[in-house]
Amino acid sequence: MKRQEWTSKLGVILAVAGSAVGLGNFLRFPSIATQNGGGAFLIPYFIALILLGIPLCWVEWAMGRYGGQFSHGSAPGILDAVGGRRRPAAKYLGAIGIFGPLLIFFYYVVIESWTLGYAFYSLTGVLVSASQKQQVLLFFDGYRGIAPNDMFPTITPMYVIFIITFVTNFGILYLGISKGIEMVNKIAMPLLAIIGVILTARVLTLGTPDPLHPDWNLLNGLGFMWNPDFKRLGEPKVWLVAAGQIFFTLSVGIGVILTYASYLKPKDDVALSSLSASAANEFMEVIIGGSVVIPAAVVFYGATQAVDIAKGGTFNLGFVTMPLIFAHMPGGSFFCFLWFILLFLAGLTSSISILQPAVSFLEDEFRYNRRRSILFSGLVCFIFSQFAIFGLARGFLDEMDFWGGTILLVLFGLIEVIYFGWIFGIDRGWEELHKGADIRIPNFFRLIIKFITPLYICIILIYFLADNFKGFVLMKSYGERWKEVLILRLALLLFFLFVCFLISIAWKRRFNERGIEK
Amino acid sequence: MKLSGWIFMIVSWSAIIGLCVYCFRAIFRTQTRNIVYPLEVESQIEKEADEERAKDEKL
Repeated sequence: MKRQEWTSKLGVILAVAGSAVGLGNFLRFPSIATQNGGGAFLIPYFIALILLGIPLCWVEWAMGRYGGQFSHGSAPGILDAVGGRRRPAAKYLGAIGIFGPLLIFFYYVVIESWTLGYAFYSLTGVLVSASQKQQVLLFFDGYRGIAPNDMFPTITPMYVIFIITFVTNFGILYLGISKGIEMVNKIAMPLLAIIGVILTARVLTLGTPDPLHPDWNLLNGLGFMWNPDFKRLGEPKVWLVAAGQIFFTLSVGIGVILTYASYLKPKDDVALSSLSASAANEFMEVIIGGSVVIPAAVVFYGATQAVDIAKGGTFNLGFVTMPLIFAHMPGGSFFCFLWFILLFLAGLTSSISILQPAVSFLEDEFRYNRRRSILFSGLVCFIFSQFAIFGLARGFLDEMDFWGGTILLVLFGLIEVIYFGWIFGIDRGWEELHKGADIRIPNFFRLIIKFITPLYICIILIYFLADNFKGFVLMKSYGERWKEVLILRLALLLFFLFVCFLISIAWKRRFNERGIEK
Repeated sequence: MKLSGWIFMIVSWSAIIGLCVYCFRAIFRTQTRNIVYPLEVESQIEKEADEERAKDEKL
């Protein structure tokens, strides 16, 4: 069976950029930048981009394209190809590259459906009519089913929109790489950029809307985001938070880039394409993400309240503060709709990418057709997504995010860079990276990939584990709910073992097929 | 906003916009370079046919 291919270079770049640009670009980045030194935060951020983000992207693109030559489109097969015949255990390490993205998808699709729901309620005017924080909080809790109220007595509206979002994701994947993923990204990414620029322009022209508070103005809003606090650079935590943000924003360590790159032709460029996708992501994060949420919060609530808003977390910022801000603006419903459509498109282009490794695994290693692969992975995702929907108040979403969106991501990134720099060998890797390349990567990146990037990731992994050991690993932050979370943890562990079992079956079948051929 | 804030914002924005312009200009340039026009295809076919003819004559 012939593997699918990308039809254009721009298509694959937009698809990888679409995977990287997510909710974190517009919500997480501005929030952590203001809490960690403002403009000064950009120093450790850009250093981490050069030493960690860009090298890891190159590693994933090169390994993915290499694995694709052996008809492998997911981490088990790609690590097996890169590791060579003497390391049969490599494919089991690759299980993280299927389990991790699926785990993220289980809850990410739920959050994505909230953004679509909020876009709908923005258009109807219901959302913007809630001008008090308490009303918006009631709306948010009622909509998610945490605390049913007069506005949302049941979870049905949220569930219907979840089903629409879920089917949309799998529908796109059913259309395949070029007609589905590539086509959607070619439309969604320019649209995302246009909406982002419109919202940025709107915020940058806010001026001083409240004459009673002359301090609440745009310049102070930008100052709140960009004025550097150099003292914070002496704190190791700031450097680690910046490195973590780079990790999450570029979609590295998930296995998505490996899968996307496996659909490239053997002589397609990866060096420039990878750099371009990273550049597009940075544009969305630093320029668009850094100009909308926090400056707008200062303009409408002042710097004192903006501190609490930034500390309030990503969901609070996106789903509570932003609707309140738009409620104060002329044409608020329209801009609120644009904001949530922006988040929905960013979420959609990311969620389809994190599903593809599992679909590729079934297609390439089990020779399933696309329909069967979609049905099988869809069934698994639907079952586990129910945990995120109905276990939201029990902390299930936080648990999934901790393992899928934090620990496994960094762990798999470490595995990838060690395989590329030490097992595949940096010389072979460098040669592979430059096959058909449109740019020449400076030689000092060889040293960075071999020594600095793995060391940097090790430090981040240790920091994350240490920082969350009591709260998440030992489940102290869950209080009385720890028993329910333990059940979820066991269910996820069983699922991970099931993925390992599938890998073992796939390789046995492959081995038997080869024997028959001989 | 302080002067240092302006400096950080302008430098960051310039670096990112500069990187985007460099990358996407290079991509569109290489895409244009890779386009093979009909005339080039024809001349390539003719060239290959001539080479084959020359080989046959030698044999």
